[in-house]
Amino acid sequence: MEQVLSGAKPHVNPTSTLTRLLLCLERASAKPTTIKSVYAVGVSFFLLIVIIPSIAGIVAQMFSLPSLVLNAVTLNGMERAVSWSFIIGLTVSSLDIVAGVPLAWLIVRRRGHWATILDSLADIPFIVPTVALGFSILQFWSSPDGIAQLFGSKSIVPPGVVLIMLLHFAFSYPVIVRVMVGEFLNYRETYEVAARTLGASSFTAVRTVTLPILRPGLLAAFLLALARSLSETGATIVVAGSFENGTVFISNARNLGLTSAVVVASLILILSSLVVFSAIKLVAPRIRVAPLRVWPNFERKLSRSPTVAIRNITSVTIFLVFVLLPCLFIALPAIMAVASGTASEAILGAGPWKAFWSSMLLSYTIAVLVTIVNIVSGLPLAILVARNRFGTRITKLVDALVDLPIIVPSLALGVSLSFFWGRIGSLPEFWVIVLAHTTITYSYFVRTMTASIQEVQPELEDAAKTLGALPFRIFRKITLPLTKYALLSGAILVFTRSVDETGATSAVSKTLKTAPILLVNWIKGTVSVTPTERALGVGFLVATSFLALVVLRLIAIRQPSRKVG
Amino acid sequence: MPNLDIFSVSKTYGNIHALSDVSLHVEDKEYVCVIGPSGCGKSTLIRCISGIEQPSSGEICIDGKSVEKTLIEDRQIGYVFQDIALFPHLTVRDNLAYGLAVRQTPANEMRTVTNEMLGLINMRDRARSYPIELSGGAQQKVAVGRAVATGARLFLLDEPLGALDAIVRAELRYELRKLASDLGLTVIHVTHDQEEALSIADRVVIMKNGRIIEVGKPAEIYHHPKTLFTANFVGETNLLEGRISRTESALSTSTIDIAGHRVNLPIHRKKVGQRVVISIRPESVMLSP
Amino acid sequence: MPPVRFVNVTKRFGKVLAVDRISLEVSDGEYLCVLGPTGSGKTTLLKLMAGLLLPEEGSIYIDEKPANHIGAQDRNAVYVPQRYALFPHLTVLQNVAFGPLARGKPVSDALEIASKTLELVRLSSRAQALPNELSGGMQQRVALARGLASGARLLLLDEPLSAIDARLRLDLRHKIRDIVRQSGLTAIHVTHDQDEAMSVGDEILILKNGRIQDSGPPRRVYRKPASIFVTNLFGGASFFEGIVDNTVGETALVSARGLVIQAPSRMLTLTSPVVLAVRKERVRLSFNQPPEMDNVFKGEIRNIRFLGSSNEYVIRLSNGDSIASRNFAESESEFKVGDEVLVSFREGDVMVFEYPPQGLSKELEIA
Repeated sequence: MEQVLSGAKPHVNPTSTLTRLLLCLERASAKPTTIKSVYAVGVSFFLLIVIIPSIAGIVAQMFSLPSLVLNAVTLNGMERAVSWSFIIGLTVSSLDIVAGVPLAWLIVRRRGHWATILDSLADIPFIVPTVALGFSILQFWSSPDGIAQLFGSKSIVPPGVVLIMLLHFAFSYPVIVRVMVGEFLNYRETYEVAARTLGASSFTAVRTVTLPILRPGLLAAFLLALARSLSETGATIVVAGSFENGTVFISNARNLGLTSAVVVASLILILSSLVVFSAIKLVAPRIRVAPLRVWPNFERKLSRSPTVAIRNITSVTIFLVFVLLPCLFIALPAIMAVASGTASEAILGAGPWKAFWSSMLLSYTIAVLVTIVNIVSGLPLAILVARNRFGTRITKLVDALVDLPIIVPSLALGVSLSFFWGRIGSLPEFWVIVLAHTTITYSYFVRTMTASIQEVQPELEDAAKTLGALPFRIFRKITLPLTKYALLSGAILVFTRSVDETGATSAVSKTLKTAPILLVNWIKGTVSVTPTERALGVGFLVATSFLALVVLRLIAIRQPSRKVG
Repeated sequence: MPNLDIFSVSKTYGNIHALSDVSLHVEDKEYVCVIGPSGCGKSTLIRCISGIEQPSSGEICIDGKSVEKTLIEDRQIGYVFQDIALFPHLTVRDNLAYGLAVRQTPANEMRTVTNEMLGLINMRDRARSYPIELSGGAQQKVAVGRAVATGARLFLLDEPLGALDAIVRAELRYELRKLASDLGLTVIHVTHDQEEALSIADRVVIMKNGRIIEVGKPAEIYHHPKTLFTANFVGETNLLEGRISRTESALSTSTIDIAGHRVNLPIHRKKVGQRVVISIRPESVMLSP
Repeated sequence: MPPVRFVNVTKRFGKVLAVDRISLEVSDGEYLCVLGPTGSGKTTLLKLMAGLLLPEEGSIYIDEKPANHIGAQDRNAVYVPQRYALFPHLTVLQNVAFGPLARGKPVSDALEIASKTLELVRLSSRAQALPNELSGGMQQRVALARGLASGARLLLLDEPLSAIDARLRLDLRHKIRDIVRQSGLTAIHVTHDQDEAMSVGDEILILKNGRIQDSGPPRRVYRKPASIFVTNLFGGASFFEGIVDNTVGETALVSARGLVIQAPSRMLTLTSPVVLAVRKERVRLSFNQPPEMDNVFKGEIRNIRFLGSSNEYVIRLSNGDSIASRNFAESESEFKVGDEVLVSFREGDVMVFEYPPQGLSKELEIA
């Protein structure tokens, strides 16, 4: 037994360069300085590339204020536009919560085939690029080829504020569903069961126990939906018609060369976003749960099967009519375009398609770069935050800072970033776009990874440490395998968000056009293309994004949801 | 006066037979402990009684009425969970009052009953605390109080002391028993701790692999177990294998060959050559130099 | 050479003092049980030994070398957390081989070590299983095997049996003890179960609020506990508050709310307030006067608890105090609730303590 148990230092026969490299990294990780430098790189990147440019840009903007000139009309329009952004955002997010939570509930509680199908379907609007969504919704509600056909009129909802709301409702819906499905899955049903054994009907139990306990999750979902609504630029432009919310206003002002208006408007948008978000985050958790008032008989009726069935049918119908169908509507013209032969022209790169394919190449190159950069720089920070290595106060600060790029509407952020990087001078436009995209998408990866690392019990790492594993080995053999899924889904989130990005991109790009920006021009008619070409262009963009969804689903199937430990 | 009848209840999950043909009668005000190794079906049984699960076959009756069509919330059963399940967003007082609040009980009645409960579990000074601020034992007391406050008389306890320190368990179990006696409750208490069961139960039910192996008073189960499993599971014992070498039907005794010795025991209806196992409790064994 | 030595070690978490000036020494090959209620600092103590936490003050010596700044990887002490922390994505064999692989052994050697260790804990047949396919008891054994295979000389077990059924615990605790003894390791076994500590420990350490309350072989701690808290935690007893009335030679007469109890005098001064304790097994019940007992009192049986191998009686004495008596090996109890009996115990079985400054109930608090 002795030789079995003696922990003598071994001599190693490295069999390949990879093994040698891994061992080298492992030994390097034994030194505290190596680890500190890895974290330092991660943190510096976060500060230098993400936080400082954003904040400095905003500050620079503010300093330039005194020199700006605005007339009263513009100012008026600006106020109205920004207010409308918030009205739309808050309304739509509330509606999304009301509509999305029952669907998320259905997906989690009703096991079986239908639930899994719904789950996958609910992801679709998430993956469809917002530009495509905007176009699809325009066609669906506004054009004679859409739902108007059924009613024999030219258009049901013309471009304007209502159409914007329909758009925002549709693309924020999956956010709510995703977050709440996660919350319901992690929720201990015992609480609800306990409430029922105490005499509460299922409706009462959910209302008085489950939802209050899940309040943080609901709040997070609401804020995410709000952020998305405030940020969205490209698709909103497509459906806005002559209406102006904050982002449309800034975009229009930019096109007209009214730089003062652009600067002031984006500043106002940024500051009001920060105020609104901070206010909600601070106030909402403190709202006291009012003393329990229950109407047993009424709530019992709500718990009965017929009511539940009605509720389910309504949720699914709302989902289909207001979210799924408008999203998928794009498929029809795209398919017709393929049939009509425009497709072969497109693939050959004739006419406007030359610019299209170079835009696609640009978009995807940027997306790949941004994803890689995010993973490499985001991982160290995710570990630091997840494992609270900074100590509670600093971790909370970092936590709040990581959210900054999400809270600030991307168009406005883009304006700030162009202020900052513009000062730097000779940075080529391509790299400015890459940096802007990195800033915007940074939070998605870090948030996803942080949550996943937090779920890995620290005890696993403790045990591994005392078994003799050096930090790199622990990361490679324990942490990484257990957070594989989050790594992949975080990467895909970043990738699709980057491909999707219109806000910041339109602010910083002068000559280069990414695919969605190009498509906005095609749709608005700034570049003249035929309707079939338009549909096909959008279709191509959607198709490539769908590939991403398929990959994600395949990975998800191979990793059945498991509880660690 | 809740008494409970379980008639041939079975519960299957796909291929797994969690419960097989379980029948039991529990008298009004009786304190029954159900014990057995992990996976024996004891938790499944009380989940079926409470309505959290539906049996695949068989019937459960409370006071003679079948509860098959009765929802969980209408069964009027107090349930205490192993992981305690106090509502984290409510104070101790609000937790205790929950069962009353959902019945639209008038405010002053709620206050009276809640104060009574706080006194009963001796936690008047923690009424405004949140569950997270309490120790495990305190939390469990609140959970019990919360169920008692609803006025339920039939109680199902699912390993109520499982999450607590050994020493706290040993004290709390007697408090639990006293509470049940004082309030005249009918209790089914599931546990894997046989000492816990022996010390407080009126009757003990032993389960294994989804079936009831034996039912009896603690002393009976311990001193006169009917099966080998019971003898070994309840308390510690020494098991010796042997063979019947002689029977004396007139005296109702048999001689058994064990470890080279012959032992006479007052057991009958055995055949010569039959293999047997003898169980001797450690406390019955004497040592001498 | 003692594998572990602590000198005045202190560990704080913010304002909370988790470990408070602890000094201890563990001998080579010893099986030390650390007993204490939840929150007494047991896990923190283990983590300090493992190198997973660093002390604020004091020195830690591993094999007599100053170890305060030696990382967890290099201490040759393996930490087995409460829920085993088996790597859920690795098979049993891969889990057990993790240690040798981490220390640089070639794969074939590591797997061989792992197989041999699995044989030792009798789990060779489950080598390819994933942890979530195993029962609690099996997971426990895999965790143990993983620790053994790593070649560590010090095994730190954090409540190894608390997630296991009561009945299985009785068997498993001895199996663990045997495996450790066979392998020649030193082990620190943390628990909140005093039966467990008593039955497997060579030495016991009792913790409360981060301080050591008592330490020594189980028998000694049981017979001569250092404080009321230790008496209550480790074995339990009946307690009486009283005042020393008189001392006659080696005997003190203590007046306890109307009763006069004979106790060993042990340098007690007159009129000093004391607390007396008597173990339940040292109290006898009888109907007739028992021969040669120093303390005999009348009482009424209020409660009888059947514990299987024993019966525990709660008797109310004439002064209102309660006393508990535990009798083993009775198939049929001759006593019934309500019986008037005589309760008796020897002077030598009475433990004497100074009256605690915070009061008796505070001192007896375990949770």
